[in-house]
Amino acid sequence: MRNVVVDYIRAKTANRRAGDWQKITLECNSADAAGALAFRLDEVLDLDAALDELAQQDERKARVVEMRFFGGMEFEEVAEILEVSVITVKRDWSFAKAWLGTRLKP
Amino acid sequence: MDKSSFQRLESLFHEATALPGGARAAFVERECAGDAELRAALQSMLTKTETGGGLLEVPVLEHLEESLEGVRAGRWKVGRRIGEGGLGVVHEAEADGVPRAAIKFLRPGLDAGSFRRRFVVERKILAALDHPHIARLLDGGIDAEGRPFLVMEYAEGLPLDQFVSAGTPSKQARLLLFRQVCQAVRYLHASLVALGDLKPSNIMVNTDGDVKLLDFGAAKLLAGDTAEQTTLTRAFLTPHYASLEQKTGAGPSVAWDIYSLGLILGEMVGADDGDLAAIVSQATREEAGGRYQSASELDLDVERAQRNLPVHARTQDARYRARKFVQRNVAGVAASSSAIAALLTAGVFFWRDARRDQENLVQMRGLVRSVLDSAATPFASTSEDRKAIQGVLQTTIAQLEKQNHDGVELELAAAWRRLATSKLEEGQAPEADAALEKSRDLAEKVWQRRRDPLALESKAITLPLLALSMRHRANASVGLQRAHESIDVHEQYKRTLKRKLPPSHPYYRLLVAMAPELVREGKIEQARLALSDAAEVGRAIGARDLGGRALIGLARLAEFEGKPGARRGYCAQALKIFPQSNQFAQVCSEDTTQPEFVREMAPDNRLSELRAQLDAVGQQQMRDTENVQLLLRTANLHAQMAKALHEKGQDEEGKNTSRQRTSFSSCWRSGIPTTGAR
Repeated sequence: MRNVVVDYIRAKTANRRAGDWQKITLECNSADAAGALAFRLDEVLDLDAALDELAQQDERKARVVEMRFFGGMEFEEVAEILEVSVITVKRDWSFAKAWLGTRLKP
Repeated sequence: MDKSSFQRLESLFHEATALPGGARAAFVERECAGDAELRAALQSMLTKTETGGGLLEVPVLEHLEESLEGVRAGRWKVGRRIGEGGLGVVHEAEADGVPRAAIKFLRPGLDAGSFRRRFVVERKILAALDHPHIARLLDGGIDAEGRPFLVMEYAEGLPLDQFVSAGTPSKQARLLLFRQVCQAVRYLHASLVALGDLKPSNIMVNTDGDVKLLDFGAAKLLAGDTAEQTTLTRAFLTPHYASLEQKTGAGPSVAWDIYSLGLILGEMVGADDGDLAAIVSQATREEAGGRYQSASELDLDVERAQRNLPVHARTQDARYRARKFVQRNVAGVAASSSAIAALLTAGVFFWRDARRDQENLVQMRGLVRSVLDSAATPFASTSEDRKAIQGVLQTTIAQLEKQNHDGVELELAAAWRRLATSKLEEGQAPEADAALEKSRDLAEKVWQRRRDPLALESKAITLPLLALSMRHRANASVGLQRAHESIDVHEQYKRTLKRKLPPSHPYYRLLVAMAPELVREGKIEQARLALSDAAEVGRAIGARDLGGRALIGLARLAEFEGKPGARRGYCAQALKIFPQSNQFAQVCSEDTTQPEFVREMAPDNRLSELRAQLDAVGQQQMRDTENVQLLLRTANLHAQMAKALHEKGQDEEGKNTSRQRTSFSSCWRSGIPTTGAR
């Protein structure tokens, strides 16, 4: 799934001039206070690179992010696949989110 | 950053986030003193966590959901979204001269490469179809953004399952609906198209009761399909309505759709009607060759059921099983056992010779399965038949065990389970238990070793049988333990495979039986879940006995919790399920826990009716030598009933009831049936 999405975004962004990224506004489904958020397609490509970096430090955390973000899976499903507890997955996720967040362009 | 500082960062991060916000800064200063890099990293991660938001908060596919509303696609103006499937999203659309249509786009992120080719196939298939019960293709193309789209006729109405549950149409009306679906599928098959993902949500019914089939996202041409499409299709199937060979990945076939049709029919009509149940069972047979060979054969049989003519499924079923039985017993038990032994030995040898050859393993499994399948014949009504079958099974088991190899443990587990069922029929419970334990251990081993979901399924099937068999005997405590295991394993099974054991499985009976134990152990919520689960299954398949018992269990739980309102509600539902009251009375009279409960349960206006039914049950018990011990309970119920009647001022009836009670209890005391007519 990660490959499908990343390839898709590469193909999509390749057609556009640098700096002229398409902005997409979305309705945020969660009760997130941010409401509507915008993101740039290249952010996902940055994330892809940062994820490789994370995998070097801790393979499992990178897998958790792949399954949560690219696979849209629940904590319980991830826990089952990785054969660890749900708590562990939640800890991995909160750490990885913050760690990756500091590596993405603001 | 090296490994050890990364680990230090991680543990500090977790410690810091466990602290209240105000205490974090001081914590960071203290812990990172002298390490500026670590401090900066930790500080920015904590800031990130506190502000929240960002890319990772929402899964990527939801990010990519561009709103298509208002977009133009060819001559179509796209309206609001009306549905979505695994691969596509569907919106309303309009164009000049067409006020309402349905437009389908591939999900963003999937509109490339192989998915896109799949979409083109769907369009090609649809373009060739023209049938009153199939939504028509109006247009298709590629919009200015390069997204491919399909435009279909807009189908008014409700999905089939909702239509049936909302309008509760009569059985005849439901069969008419189903037959329209059959006819559409027959037309598709004649056009060399297999649907692949037939399910109620893709079948629309309008207010006139006309059916239209909608989604062809998984459809394929029976000729000239590519392996890639099959793989793609498999990834997006709706598992519940997919047949066994579909899930395991065999090629496309008419038999898939027959299987789905069978399941849909089963959900539409329940399990009350013997003929329809036989039709459902023939349509959903595990082995594709045993199902109806075409949608029109299925349609015809449903028509026969509609007109109360004998259905083929029943005679077919008998013939099918008889043929299997003859095949096996053609030269007597000894010959058939040794023939199977020879076959298996050859199979295993073949397989060991080419260990990596998946195909041989599949053949080997198929062989064992066909032995198991033929061992399931209900024709084995005499003890001799059962001995023959047990012989075959024991040979199979011995052969498989002698080879001691991996890959067919689950088939071996199934063989032990079959043997156990046969032993239970013979009344050899200890042998059955031993066989079931073997079956369970094998499945457990496979599950531990390779987390094969089928192993989990095998365990989930076996454990309730074991628990039910053990419950009523000396090793009741082990039985109880197995019952707990059953529930845990089934929960795990549901989570892993996203489906439940079939409603006909004894598991649900076990749930009802287990509920009082759970309450006794203080696991109230678990008991409630178990009973609700059983009640739901009972309702879904029209299994009155199961559903009613579960509802009585729920009522009893409400009583235990001191919630009289809820209790009355459940009782009323139970009484509705048991309209004749005699089953209700039977259930009550079998229950020793709280005989006075019955008095509370019966609404005033039905007390006499319930009493009459209880009398009938009691009379039956007096004639029935095996049920003599139930008489005491019935007598107790009558005592309660008499009290209730007196309280309500119905003294005459109360007196009669007391008299009846005396005759039941004296019959019980004497321990001798009054007429011995059995």
